Amino acid sequence: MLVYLSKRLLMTFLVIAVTSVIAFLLVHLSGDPAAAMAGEGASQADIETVRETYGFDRPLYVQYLDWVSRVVTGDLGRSTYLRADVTDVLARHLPVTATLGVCALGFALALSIPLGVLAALRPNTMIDRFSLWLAVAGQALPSFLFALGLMYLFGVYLRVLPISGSETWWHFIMPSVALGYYATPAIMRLTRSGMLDVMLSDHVRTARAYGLSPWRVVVRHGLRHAIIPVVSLAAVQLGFMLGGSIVIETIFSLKGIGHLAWESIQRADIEVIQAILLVIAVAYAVLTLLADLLNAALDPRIRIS
Amino acid sequence: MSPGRVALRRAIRHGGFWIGGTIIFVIVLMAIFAPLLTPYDPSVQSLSEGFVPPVWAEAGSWEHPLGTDNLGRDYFARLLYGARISLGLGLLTVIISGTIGTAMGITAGYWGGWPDMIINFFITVRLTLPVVLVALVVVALIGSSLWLLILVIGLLLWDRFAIVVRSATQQLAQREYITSARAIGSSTPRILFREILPNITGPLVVVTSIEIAHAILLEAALSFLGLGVQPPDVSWGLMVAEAKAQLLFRPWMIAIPGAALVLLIFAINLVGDALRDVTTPEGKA
Amino acid sequence: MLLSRTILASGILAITAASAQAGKENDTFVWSTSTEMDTADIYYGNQREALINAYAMCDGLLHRDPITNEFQALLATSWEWTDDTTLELELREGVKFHDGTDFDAEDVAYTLNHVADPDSDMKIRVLVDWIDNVEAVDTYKVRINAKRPTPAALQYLTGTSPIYPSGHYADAPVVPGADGAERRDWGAVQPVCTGPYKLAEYVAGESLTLEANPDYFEDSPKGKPSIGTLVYKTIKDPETQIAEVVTGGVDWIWGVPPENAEMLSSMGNLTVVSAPTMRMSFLSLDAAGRTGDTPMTDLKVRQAIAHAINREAIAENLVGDGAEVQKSMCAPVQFGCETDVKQYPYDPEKAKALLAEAGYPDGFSVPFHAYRDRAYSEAVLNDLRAVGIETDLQFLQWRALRPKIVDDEVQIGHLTFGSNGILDVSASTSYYFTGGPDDYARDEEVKAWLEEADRTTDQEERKALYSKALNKIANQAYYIPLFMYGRTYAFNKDLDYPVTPDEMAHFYLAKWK
Repeated sequence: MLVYLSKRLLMTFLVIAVTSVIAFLLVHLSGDPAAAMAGEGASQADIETVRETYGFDRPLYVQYLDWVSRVVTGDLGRSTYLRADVTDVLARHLPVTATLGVCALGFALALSIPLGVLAALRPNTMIDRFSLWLAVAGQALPSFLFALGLMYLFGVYLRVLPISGSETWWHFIMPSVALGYYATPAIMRLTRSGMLDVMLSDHVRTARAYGLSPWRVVVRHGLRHAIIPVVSLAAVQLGFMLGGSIVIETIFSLKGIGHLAWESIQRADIEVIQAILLVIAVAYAVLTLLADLLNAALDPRIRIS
Repeated sequence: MSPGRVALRRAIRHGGFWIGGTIIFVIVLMAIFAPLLTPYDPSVQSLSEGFVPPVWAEAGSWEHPLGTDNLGRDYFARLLYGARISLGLGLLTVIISGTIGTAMGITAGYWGGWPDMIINFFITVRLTLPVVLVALVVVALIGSSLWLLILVIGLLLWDRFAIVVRSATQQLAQREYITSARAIGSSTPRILFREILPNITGPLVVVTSIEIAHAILLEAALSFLGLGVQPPDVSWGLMVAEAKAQLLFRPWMIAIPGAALVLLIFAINLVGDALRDVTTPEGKA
Repeated sequence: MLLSRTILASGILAITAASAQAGKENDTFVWSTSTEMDTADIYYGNQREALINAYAMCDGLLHRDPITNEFQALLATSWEWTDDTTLELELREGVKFHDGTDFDAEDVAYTLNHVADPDSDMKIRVLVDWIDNVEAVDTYKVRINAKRPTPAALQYLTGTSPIYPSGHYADAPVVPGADGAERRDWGAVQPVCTGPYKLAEYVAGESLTLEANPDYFEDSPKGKPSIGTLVYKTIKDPETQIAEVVTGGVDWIWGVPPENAEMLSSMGNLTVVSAPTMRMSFLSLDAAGRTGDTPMTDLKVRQAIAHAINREAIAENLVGDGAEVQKSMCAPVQFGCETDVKQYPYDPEKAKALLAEAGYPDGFSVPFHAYRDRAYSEAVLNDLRAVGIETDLQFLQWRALRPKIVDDEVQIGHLTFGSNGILDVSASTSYYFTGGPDDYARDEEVKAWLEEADRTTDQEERKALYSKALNKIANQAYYIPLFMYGRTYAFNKDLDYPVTPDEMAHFYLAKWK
């Protein structure tokens, strides 16, 4: 187990390192960071001053190492637009996205696991076909269309849910549904196939032969085993949601990091863009690491292969 | 019968294949014959004729069967010509991403060892980067021409190709007929092209369909944010973005391109699912 | 550290249900636009939203009545030009800043000297560049020494130049540069002012909350504040804004598209009103060849572009009520704005003929930069396409576009300018044609006329000089004036509030009905 752990940690570290280089290069090889930072009313001389002050005239690898050395000490730079340290800005925006991601995942799990179990219990029946069709149809709907539709129906027409902002739990309902439903088909399919496998396994069949009701057997024994790959998939999906929340956040005016990233891109607020790309990548890498470790802990076969 | 013909026969009997296939076929026809189906140029404006509602509304008429947008451009024309870009973009990006991903997948799956580890590393790095944000950064900072968009999306969406092709290749590479082909001295390119490639077409075709849908959706999202297709070009994603401001008062403006997008993706998914069922019959249970 | 703060903040977020409830019952007025405020200090940002908030929470020396346009005494009770370049002002006694300190001449001298300093990094130099230095002559008397005669000086001393207490900027954060170099971020200091509202909370990019100041001095031309709390919220998406104002989540928005105005007013809980503004929409053309030797340097090409655009159709159909075609490169309400200049009527055939004469019978291709109101830019683009000019639209945010303008990269720019509400041509035409980084015409003759007009005190002479400059600009089609913006406002029916033609929102004058 230890060997596995150290291999995975090394891999994660390498991935993060390479991602940081890519994030840095993406941002610095475009346009002119000095001109962007100098901003309004700046003359050529002003821009040159900024270039020297901030060291944009140094070779790229030097700037990169400078940035990395600051990052590992916790200094993510400063946002020129918001006039605040990036760390503080992120600390304000990250909770919104984290809450959104967790709620969206919760919604997806709450919807897809029961459906998956039900479909597995009654394979090839109406329920099974229906849930599969629902899944396929759901995936065809782009998230922004779904979000706009929800906003119109529940926010404006029925007036039961708030339209924008992130002040209360109610504000997160529509965004979570809009963001989470996309993960539903994958989780549902995985649950279903996992449950089917389990139900055909020896010890479940034996339990049923003893007369135990299918429900108890399935739910107590089957689900426990089928859930393992689902947890791992869920962690990965959470990672995707963190990186893909930008459209939902824009529509519902949620001030999360996706929204912040988009704004910063438009404003050429370089330090923020770099930091967000890095943070999202790190979050995703950590989540997948946890998912893999969980899998390895629960399923010894993985460790050995 | 060759596996290809078996699959084809199964496909013909599969309901989803027909429904999805027909829808796609109709959309493709509409895109190709757009100039014949509408007299209007989708980007010529007529400012005094803005916001004409579709023919089924009170103020609508057959002159503009689906109405006009804010600049007076005929909506039906925009829908038809938009199909060209949405479809064309989906196809072209998939050619790029498919080529990259398949090449990487075959390399990793066939040779294993170091090439496999390196390619796995690339895949992991690619998965770790948030696709939408990276695309936004590149397009925002370099500029948004249609070709750049295709290139960027193509260069970002190769991961699933690589993963699926790799695993399919791995399974094949261990089969006896491959090892015996090697034993008799067949050259590597020969093995790759004659034995491996034809036998992974099953999963490859399935992934292709998924990724076409993925590319179209990604373009729609980028256009929605304003950094995808630019005027005078028109795509369905851009139409939704432009109609967003009219959500409350003229919902038909979003509903029409939105429904078109959903229908297209749905059809692609149906066909993809049908192909998956057909090429791996054991997986259906 | 980041992780634990995230977890803690998520928890708090989950528990608190407090939100700014809008409306009369809570005596909280919520207004919203799409802009993100990057600073609350109007000296360090020139967003309209910052100016609106500055008028509510800060006072300048003079106040210009929004309806009559007359100057009134605010922090200064009287003023006099003792000679061409010296302005003496008597100040009001008994005024307190929001932090409790007393207002006097030292504060005026400190504030104006700080921002007038060329190193102050202040954003709108035209407001303070005329000042040489300011002296506190007595406790309530101040003398402003101008570098040269500045007829528009009184305009500059209104709400766009708030007064802060002495030492206000002393705590500006030090911003680290590379290799040990340092800068001060003056714009990060929260303003402390004397106005009818106090700054309660400012969250950069998101919101700004003001509370009524019960100790605001009597006899102010701004009156006493009526509404208890004013909250500004950024909502990026226009349709979300509309949805919010319809459902009562927000009390005031502007920028309602004309096609929605009628439907909004039929909703019953809203007042929908249009008003003209001072904001110009125009095309800057690279006549001087700053980007290189492009077709824009040819007079015929520029005139062709002018004839190609259907300005009436855009103003009437797209911009809506309150908008009108702009005749000259200045706002008609500004002093010195000569509108009787060469006009280029919509004539695509003539445009094509001119292009052919210039050597482009098949048109040409050109990058087109814009930053706001995309639909208007698209309409212009489509008109250009119709005469053969293919454009490559680069739609950016202003902060990303400005560096390109400075860096000689913009051949055609679709720009707007509100002149900061200053009713004098020196704040608009002179901004664009006196050789600064925004000047893509670089005409020495025009520059000379404008600079002289900016400095002369004789009104008739000024008008004549501005007229000469504006005529030449029109004859040379250096820039193409398109239209004057109109704005449509939608607000809570319970709000009693004067809609003014200056594109400002004077919320300190608003009351609930």
